[in-house]
Amino acid sequence: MAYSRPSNRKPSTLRPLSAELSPLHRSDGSASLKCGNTHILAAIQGPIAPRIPNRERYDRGIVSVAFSKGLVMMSNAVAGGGNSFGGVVQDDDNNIDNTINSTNNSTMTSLPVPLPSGGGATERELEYFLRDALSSCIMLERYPRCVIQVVIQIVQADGSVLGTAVNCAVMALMDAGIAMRGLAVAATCVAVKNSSVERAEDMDVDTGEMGQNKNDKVTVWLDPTAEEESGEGHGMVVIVIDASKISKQSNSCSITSISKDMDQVELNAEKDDAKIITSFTYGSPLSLAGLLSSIESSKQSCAAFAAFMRLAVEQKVQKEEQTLWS
Amino acid sequence: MQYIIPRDDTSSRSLSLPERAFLRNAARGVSSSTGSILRLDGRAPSEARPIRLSFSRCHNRAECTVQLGNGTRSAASVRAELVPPPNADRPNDGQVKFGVEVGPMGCMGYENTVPVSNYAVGESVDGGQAGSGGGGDVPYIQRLASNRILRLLERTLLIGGSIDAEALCVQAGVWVWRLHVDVSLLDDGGNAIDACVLAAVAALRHYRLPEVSMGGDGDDVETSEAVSSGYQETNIIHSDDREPTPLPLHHTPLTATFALFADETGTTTAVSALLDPYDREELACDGLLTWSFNKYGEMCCVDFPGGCELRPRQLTASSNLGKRRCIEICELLETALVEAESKAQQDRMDRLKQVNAMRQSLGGDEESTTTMPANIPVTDEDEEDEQYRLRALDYSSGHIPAPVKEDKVKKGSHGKNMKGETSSLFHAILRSAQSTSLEKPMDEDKPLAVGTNDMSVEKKSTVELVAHTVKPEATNTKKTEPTKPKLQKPKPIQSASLDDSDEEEVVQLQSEFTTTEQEPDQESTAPMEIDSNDSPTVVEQIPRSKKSKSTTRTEEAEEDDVDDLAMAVKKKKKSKKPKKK
Repeated sequence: MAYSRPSNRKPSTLRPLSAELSPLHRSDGSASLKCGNTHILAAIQGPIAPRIPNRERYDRGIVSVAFSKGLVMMSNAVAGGGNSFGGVVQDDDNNIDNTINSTNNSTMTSLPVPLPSGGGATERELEYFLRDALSSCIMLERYPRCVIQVVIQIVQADGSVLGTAVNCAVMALMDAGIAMRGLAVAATCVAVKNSSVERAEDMDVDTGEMGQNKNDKVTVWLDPTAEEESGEGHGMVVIVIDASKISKQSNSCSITSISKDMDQVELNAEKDDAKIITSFTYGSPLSLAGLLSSIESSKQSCAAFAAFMRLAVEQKVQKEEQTLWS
Repeated sequence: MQYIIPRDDTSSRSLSLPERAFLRNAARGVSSSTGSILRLDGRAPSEARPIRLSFSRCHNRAECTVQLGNGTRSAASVRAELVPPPNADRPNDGQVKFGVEVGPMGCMGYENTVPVSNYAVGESVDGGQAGSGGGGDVPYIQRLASNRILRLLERTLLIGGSIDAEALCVQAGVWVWRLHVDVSLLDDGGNAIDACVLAAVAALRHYRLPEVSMGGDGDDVETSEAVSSGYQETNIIHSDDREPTPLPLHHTPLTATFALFADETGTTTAVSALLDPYDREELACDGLLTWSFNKYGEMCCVDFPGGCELRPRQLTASSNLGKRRCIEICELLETALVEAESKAQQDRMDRLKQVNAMRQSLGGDEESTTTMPANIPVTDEDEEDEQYRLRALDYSSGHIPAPVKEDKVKKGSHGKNMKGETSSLFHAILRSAQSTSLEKPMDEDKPLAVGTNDMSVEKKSTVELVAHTVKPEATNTKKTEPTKPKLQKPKPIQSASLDDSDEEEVVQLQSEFTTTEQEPDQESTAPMEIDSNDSPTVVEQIPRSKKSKSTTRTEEAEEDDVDDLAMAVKKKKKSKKPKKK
């Protein structure tokens, strides 16, 4: 049936995933991840000696992230021009503004990833975000005085770029054999305010009840495309969860109670509940209801994605077994 | 606490003396008895690695990824924007801006620096944004490489006149196109020049320039007013609404690079030229010579930055070789582009159809919406599987590696979820294997299978050790996997009981490729089982089926996403086995 999402999916459906491990041979580890039309390539070099001696730390390693520069300018056009895929009629006015602006400043002042123009994040901030997300799950104390260098290349961008970049980097880390204490998996959610719920099936999330406590209902779409991200009033959040700690019993709502005016929220911190490593919001402002329901959706999405990662790594191990031991 | 010796990048930019001497002697034909030139990867001196091209296109952007053999990979993307004419002297000329990035992804030693262009008009190059500064000669060498690629691109395409700048004009004096061509070196396995240039040119050929609508062309008074006031509403029309046009390229120049090895002692002036060097050869060579020709055999560019002395006759000889090679690549590119174009058109049609369908369903009655979903998911899925199968089998030019195909992941039902994923991939492989296994000659494989029994016996002792160590780890991690029982469906092959589901899965996959062989293998391996451990059986079957696989080229498709490269060149079927990882 025709869903209200522009990409014609249920709110909790991810796009088709496809991954390839070790596509590059000069890097220690690499992964190429395709999430629908978003295609990210990550390469890991590590552990290697740092170039600047005063950057090294004596007790632990450092993660350094770089977004590949070649694609930075490319992303500008995508961001300004709306979606790259999806046949809905473009908003042509965007193109004019973009081109006129870009003649004045041809240097890279624009966004490194196709975030909506209200996002305002710079390349450095995204690199730091990725670095923080990865640093918390790598056992850096095993690599003193070393640098683990992560290079991300955006081959195609069609929404959820940052989340896919995190996932791709984690798969490349697995490919490189870097010691990790957890599995950081990212999920991108967009919270859409809607005045009325169209269908009951749209509210798959458990926190639909919670949304009804408030007057504004929030629908959370997982894994948005660029078109969905650039919609009016859409707030995006990328949540990175440690997927190795997600309990098998899903549907256990971790939010026990919320006071009437939403200024006190009790969270049921179960011992084996999902641990959120970090998060990143962009786009329009997000309501608290939207954030909390995004967290719930992200948990399930991360569990599913972790299963996909496992499949991809298994395939690679089998492939190696065939080629190396034949 | 374990002590880790941090690696640095010396291994990637220098060779040890014995290795260097060995490479050079082999390349100059000194060490072989017949005096012929030998290469470490077994190629002939004028033989190049197989090329794999993959394209993609969307509105106002085109990308191409080129892979040379297993080692070198580069990607290029093209996009355009409307700007006022940048050069006041030439109000009708558009602009093409190249950007080459040889970054840390390509090789460990490379850094985040930007090459310097002679034609960077009005742009401040942010050299200071290097990820990690550092001194030494590494960034210098790397910048040389990226500079060389950049200047080669500019010389062949801009100055050489293959891109017609005047044809990029939209409205004289008001709007022109500025093309951005960004090339990145993803993996440097030697001969980055050829890969980058090929990627850039292929992306330019595949790119389609969108149509522009000039507002206010109804009323003359208004337009003249608008023009005089300096603003006229100009829209870039989306490629789905109006068919975009190809770029005005007069000809397509491509390059062929040789690594030169001269006699160090100077006793002879013989110089060996190896086509398409890989990274070791590049490090050991004296110089690199690049020729650029188009498909008509016209020379577009020569790039020889030195390194060794060449006599004129040697230069012309290598130019003939280069010309032949360039013409070859040109033909390859043409076939790849044709196929990519048809695929892009197909995608566009599908997108338009989908948009129409969505528009209909959203605006239609309730009845129409309920009837639509019954049709769409089923046919889409079948078509998707069909497409997957065709793509997996199609190893002609422009082949895309068949990905791990995943169905849409549904939240909440994990067990079902996994089944959906594996069964779709599984069924797709099954179907493709069934269709190709019919072609495979049966007789050829059986004696081969029996013959390799002896070899595998010897191997067994060495391999067994490894399998034992792998196995306990595998059982620990995979014991809780709930989905493995589902994979037991097609063939209960093992006679003994298998407790390790991981290895069973390996066997299952093998059975798809060699459907008829497994039965004779079964009987022959039963007496070989010394202990109750199942790993020897599993491991043995792998080399056997691997051997049989190598004889039949048709099975290469399934292996393709494993490690082998699909043959991109239709004409040249490789006689020996491609390099496995």
